[in-house]
Amino acid sequence: MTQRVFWKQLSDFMGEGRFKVSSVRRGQMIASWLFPLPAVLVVAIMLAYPVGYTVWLSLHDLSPFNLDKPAWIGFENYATLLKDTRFHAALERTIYFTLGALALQVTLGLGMALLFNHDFVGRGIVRTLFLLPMVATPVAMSLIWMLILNPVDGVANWILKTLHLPPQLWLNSGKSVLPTLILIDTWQWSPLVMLMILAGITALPHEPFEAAAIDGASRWQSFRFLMLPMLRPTIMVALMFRSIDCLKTFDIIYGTTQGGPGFASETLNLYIYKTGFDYFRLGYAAAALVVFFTLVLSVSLLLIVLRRRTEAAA
Amino acid sequence: MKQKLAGFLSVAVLLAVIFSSVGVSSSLAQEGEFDWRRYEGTTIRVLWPNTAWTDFILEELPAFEALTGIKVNMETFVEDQLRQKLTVELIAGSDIDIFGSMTIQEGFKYHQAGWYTTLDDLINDPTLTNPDFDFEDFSEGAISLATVNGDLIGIPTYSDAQIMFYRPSILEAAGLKVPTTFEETEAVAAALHDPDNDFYGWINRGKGAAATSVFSSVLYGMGGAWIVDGKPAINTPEAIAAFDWWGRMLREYGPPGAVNNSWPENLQLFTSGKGALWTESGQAAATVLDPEQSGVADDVSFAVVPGGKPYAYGWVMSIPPSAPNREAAWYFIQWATSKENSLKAKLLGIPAPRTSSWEDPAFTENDPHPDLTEAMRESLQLAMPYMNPHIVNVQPWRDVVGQVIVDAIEGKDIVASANAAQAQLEELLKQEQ
Repeated sequence: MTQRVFWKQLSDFMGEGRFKVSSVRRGQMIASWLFPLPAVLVVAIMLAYPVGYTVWLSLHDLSPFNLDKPAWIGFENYATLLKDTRFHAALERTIYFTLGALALQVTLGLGMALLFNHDFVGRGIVRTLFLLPMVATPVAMSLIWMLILNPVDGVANWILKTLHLPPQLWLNSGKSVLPTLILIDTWQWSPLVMLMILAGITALPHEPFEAAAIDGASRWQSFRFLMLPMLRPTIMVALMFRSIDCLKTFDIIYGTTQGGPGFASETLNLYIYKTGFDYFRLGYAAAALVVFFTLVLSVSLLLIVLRRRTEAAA
Repeated sequence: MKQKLAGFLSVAVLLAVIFSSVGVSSSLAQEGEFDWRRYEGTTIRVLWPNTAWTDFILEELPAFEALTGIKVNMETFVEDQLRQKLTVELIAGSDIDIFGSMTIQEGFKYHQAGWYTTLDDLINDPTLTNPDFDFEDFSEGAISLATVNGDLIGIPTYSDAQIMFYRPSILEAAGLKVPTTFEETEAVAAALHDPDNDFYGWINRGKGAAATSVFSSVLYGMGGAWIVDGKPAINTPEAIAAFDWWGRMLREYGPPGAVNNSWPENLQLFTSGKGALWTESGQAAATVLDPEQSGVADDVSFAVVPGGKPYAYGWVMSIPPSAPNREAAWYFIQWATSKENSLKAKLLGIPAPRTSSWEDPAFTENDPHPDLTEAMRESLQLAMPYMNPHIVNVQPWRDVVGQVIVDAIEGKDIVASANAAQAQLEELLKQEQ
């Protein structure tokens, strides 16, 4: 209705009332196509075309040697992926990294949010300090972490030795490289989770907590049975953001180990990067990308559905 | 008296004629035959790796620009970045005039993709090649590094071989001789290994793919090979023994976390006095011997690697078919690899591809490190071009073999790991055919 009024006013303004209703309708129709057009074009060029091209590539054999005549091979790339042990291992590592990082980041982020929800001296300064890792450049941070974690003369092992604890190999061992990368990712991104949950806590109503306090609920009880259920939608959003990012993590892994030692930290993104840009098996890399894209998409869809359910329940 | 005077005069005239003719011919060579300024005003674009030779040539660059009036835009990159950038640019047929490649790594791939041009036409054209260039002066080994499938695809800037670096004072103090066999090397490393004081008996590459090139000397030294009868030979008894030795040496006598160490990390360890024995490309000697960058400059010596099968390699300057300024590019290449520059680089410790540089009195009489020269010359003679298998897909091959090296260092089941790698490599070679 208001739209109608708007169009009427617009046509009045432009045609000083000389337009008939039909021409107003036509203008309305053209405008309803014209106005969203820039956005539609951007989406088409920046999203639909690359995704479509990747799918097209994944059905071809394409390398630097046959750029002018990519050969159509149907689903052969996908069939090869099914047998590719390196791809399977990379998929497992991606899931391991994501689950590990999510568990740590959400727990720590929630803890930090609860901490900063209380008033204490210097809260502002400490909170700003906690946010610093998030704004640091990942590649620069990777290099600094490598210096810190160097098993021969890094600070981390020096601290362990001073505390009479056994030195660790950190990034320099197939066993500890993924847990160490999870720690680095957690160091960098827990503050984001903290920020989101803190915003959620600030938006919560006070009354239920006051009522619970009057009824004699302990602090744990009011956290467990009031705050946590009410925060669930916020936590789900944080989970969604972080899980998509964790699945796609590239910078800190490439910056520190490039997927090593051996293949020990080669996640899907690293493997696809290598296949595409080191080996130049472009068709095959595209097929792996399509699988990866589907994985990220389905995880986000799952989380969206779960979030709707928790919201409906709340 | 008259006769004497006549005789004196005739000798004088003869001498005058001889000297003047020399003068005429030399001025002819300067003026008429070779015109360095023919491509004045041209700008050429060079994509090149960061090496010790690069630092040298960048410093000399103004001399070339003054001589020829050609402007050189030299973009330098870390090796892996250079390979990626080159691949993207050469696929797109960009405006690169000269690029660097290591034929032993990517030669077959680039050759197959048609990114090289042969240089014979330029070398044989007297209007384009300075007569002092003297192509025959390049050693046979160096030219083999610039030849792919029989085609001369570039000019070598330096030819390097793997050598062993050791600390003579520490070996002497322990009463140990410089090891030549694998058994002796292990015994020396074990005797000198002192991890509590951050001193390691053996330093070497453990970082997956990066380690495969240096590992090749052990593989071939133990009688193995990358490929036998057209099939990968990664799980043969010889190969298993080589992986086992490599893994044990780094696990038991190496620095902690060697699985992430490539040459930069090892250079750092060795120059800070933390290692007794190390095998690496001879080029690293320039840094190790520089007192400003190295704490062991006065206590290092050089030998042939254990087993006597070092690898040889070198960066080669090539002109792609898409080069906009092929002739000006050739001017730069022949100047950069001239006798004069080869000798200058040699005096800085960079192994020269030209025989004349090794024999020049300016070098032999002032050689500050005859031990390095001897080790390098001997190694270049022994060196084999098998740092990598002679296939197109070298990079995935190295990644797969690198995983076996990491498993060996971490003490995992080598046979199982080698068998898994063998299967993957067979698949890889199948794709190639």
